[in-house]
Amino acid sequence: MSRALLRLVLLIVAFGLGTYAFGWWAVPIVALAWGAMNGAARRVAVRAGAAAALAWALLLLAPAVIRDPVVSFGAKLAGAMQLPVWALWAAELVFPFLVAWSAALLGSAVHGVPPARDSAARAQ
Amino acid sequence: MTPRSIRALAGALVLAPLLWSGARGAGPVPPLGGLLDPANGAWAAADHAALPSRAAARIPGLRDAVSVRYDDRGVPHIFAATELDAYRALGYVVARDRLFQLDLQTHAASGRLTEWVGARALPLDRQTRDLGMPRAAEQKLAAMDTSGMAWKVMQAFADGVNAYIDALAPSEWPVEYRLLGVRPERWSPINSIHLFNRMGQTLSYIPDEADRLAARALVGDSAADALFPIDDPIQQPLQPDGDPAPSFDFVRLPPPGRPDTAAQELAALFQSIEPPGRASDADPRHFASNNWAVAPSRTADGHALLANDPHLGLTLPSIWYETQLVVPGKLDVYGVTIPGAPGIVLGFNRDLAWGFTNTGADVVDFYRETVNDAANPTKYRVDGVWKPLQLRVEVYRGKDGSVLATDTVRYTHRGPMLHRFGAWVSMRWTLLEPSHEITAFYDAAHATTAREFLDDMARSFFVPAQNMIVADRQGNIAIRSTGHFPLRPKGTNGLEIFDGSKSASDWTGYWPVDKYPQSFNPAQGYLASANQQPEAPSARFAYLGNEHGYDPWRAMDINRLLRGDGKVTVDDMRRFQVDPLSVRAILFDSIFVASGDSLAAGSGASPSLRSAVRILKEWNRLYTRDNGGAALFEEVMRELRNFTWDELADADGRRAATPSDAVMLELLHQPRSIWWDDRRTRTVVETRDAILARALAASYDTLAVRYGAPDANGWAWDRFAKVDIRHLLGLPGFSVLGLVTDGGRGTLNPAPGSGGFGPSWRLVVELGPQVRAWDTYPGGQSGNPASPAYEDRISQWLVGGLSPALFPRDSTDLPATATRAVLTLEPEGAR
Repeated sequence: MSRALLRLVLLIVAFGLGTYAFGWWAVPIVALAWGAMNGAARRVAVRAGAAAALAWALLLLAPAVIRDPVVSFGAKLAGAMQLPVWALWAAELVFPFLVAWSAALLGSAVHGVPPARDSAARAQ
Repeated sequence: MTPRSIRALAGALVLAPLLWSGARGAGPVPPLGGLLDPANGAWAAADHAALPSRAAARIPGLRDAVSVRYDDRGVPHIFAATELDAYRALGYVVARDRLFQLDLQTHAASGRLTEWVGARALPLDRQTRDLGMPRAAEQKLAAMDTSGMAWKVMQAFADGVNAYIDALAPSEWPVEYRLLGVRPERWSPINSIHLFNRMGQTLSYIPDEADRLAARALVGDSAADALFPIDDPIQQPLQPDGDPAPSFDFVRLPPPGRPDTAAQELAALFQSIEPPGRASDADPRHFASNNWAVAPSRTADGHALLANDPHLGLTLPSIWYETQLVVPGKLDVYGVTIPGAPGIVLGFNRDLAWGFTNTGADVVDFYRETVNDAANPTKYRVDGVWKPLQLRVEVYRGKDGSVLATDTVRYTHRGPMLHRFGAWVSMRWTLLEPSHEITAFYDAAHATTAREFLDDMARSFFVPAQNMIVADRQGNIAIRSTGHFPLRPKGTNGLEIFDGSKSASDWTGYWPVDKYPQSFNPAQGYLASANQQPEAPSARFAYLGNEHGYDPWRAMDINRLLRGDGKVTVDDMRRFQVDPLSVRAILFDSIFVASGDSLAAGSGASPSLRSAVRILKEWNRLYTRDNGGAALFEEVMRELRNFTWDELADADGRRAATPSDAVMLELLHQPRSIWWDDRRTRTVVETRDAILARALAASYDTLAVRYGAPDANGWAWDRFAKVDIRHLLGLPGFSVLGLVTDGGRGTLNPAPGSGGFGPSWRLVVELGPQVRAWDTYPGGQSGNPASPAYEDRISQWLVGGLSPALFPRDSTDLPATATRAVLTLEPEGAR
């Protein structure tokens, strides 16, 4: 496993455990810390967003493998919110993505070293 | 700007609104973070969908351990050593399954919905507080005997609810809290009184003055009083009058007279007193219920039988929660409670069973007051003396605790005083007076004979008046309309607005119990109530109510079924509850067909008229789902009302009041009455048959345009009579809509087109050596929409099925195969 992949997996675990233990506030906090610590890394914000979305997806889907109510309840919940089911699932991914992405972006800006590679990559 | 600062700014600009909407929500959108959080948010409801097979909890104040065994239908059987422990456990298990319902009902009943949903609930909250309901609950609580059992039971129930709430992690809150962005509130004993008040409001706040006044304003007093009579033209009283067949007391309807100008002013006043939302639900006949009991002499097994199905608004979760309370040697009662009520409301014990229907008594009166200041009164005058008004400031708060509005509600000695169209009108309503329903249910659960049960109830149960039927194991059957029935000044009834400036206008007391409509072990061997007029006019002690609150059809149906020669079985009782044959349809349709036959044979008869007559002639008067005649019949009834009651249209062309179907039947027997004349056709004076021909043809054409040809089941009843069981918040995803079942207007199993009302519980009990019972309701025990037990009984309910109610004597008596979960409740200090 490459080091980058391992770091991503650890980030997903951090988002997952943080959310499970402390609720959704764990997402911006972990992302902010991640951004601050890895400000120089490439696509730090996008990785944080993707990791958060993936962590929430796993938290949702893992119980669904074991028992049905999550899937059937999703349809009811979406109906209660007067949303199509896909929109609820999309919100479940987009919300943590945006929160983690923006928090990591902010964190990376706080980081002491300018993310040169990130900037350079974007300039190209 | 540097790239870093641009990133910081961009991150902050996106993050800030996300954090805000995540934590606080935006407008009607609840806090998104708490809602979408996959581990602790709304989704967590799925984690708690099923009861754990074994669980334990502690309740402060509990004396001994309590064992709660949930059977395979999710019914908790509570086995406790003391009665108060049983009620603590009841509070706990009800909260465990129905916490949000408890909380929502309390907020609604105490006029505090704004604290959950903001200003949009102000009209509803204002109605509740303007009617004086929270004040009445406070006064009832203050008047309670704190050493009495009812007080202790309320406190014990609250202990149980609060023990559950206190131990809840936010992730365990019911999903509705997430959707609303609010949190559970601890339970106060007064909430139980709020709950009874709300139920009382639903069943007894029937301002029935409006229709008659509106009619007087249009067609004069004499005609209006005949169209909106005190006595139902069809009599099948619950207090048997010696004739098991119904009597038809039809009178000639006087012609329309000159409008009553005084009534015009009062009618306008009354329209404004009608509570918000009443207009669509105005027909009190929606709250139609059935109960009947059969004596051993008329049953196949020689044991008394009892059935009850109260018809109320159908909701998810259901208004009812099924449970059993067992305290060895002291209490053993099974039935349904309304979440929040500390006791069994309908059910049975080891000796007897009971059921209720609404009496429909007139227990609300209005008084036009004379005040010292039309804009801001502080005094009102009675017998020439100025009396101070009691002022109560009502503060409405929003979700964040901010003050949304402040009102001053004024009270005379009669009750709350409302300001409408420049007039001050006070109200007297039995619901706002002292009452002891919790005592009544507590005592009744211990009763061992039918008479003891009814006497316990009469002593303490005052509102909403109910037709209480009871059967015991000794073979007794009995019924009594029980509640406080006002005694009004001589020569008056409750259909007028009284002069508040005279004390002579006040109620003089309540009916004595021995004058209540009632019957014990009648010779006919059965008793039945279905919201009909309780007693024949000749047997009436005083004005009880009026035809607006009564409905004769289902009473005729059940009496028809019960007076047959056969011996009644348990399965008969179940079948009767869903009998799709309509006596109402038989009575009307026979006239439609008889007249229609000759009309259709005429040379000028239209094809639509001929087709309509043919369909109604072939119709078997059943409201079954695939039946093609019921839809046409109901459409004919609607058109008939439209064509007939044109005299009751106001200046805008809207019908100000509509006489009942019983009055329509009365008129159908007067084919040349001037009421048949349609005043919109100035050159012709119509007769009954002309209007009938018009209604039949128009109905056929209407249905043909809307639903196509009647063949190939195009007019099948299930296209018209849908049942909607809505979530308490009306959330579509948590509702079950568009269900199909048998039954219709006036049948024992009514499925009105509006869909939201119906049999909220069905019970059949056999009072043999061992009491056996069967029941169901349209919903499920769990209030969690993720749970299979949220709606698992609906399919059974739709087809009229019942399940046996397990009635174990002790915790070992419940078979292991029928035990779904066990909950052990222990005292707080126990190890």
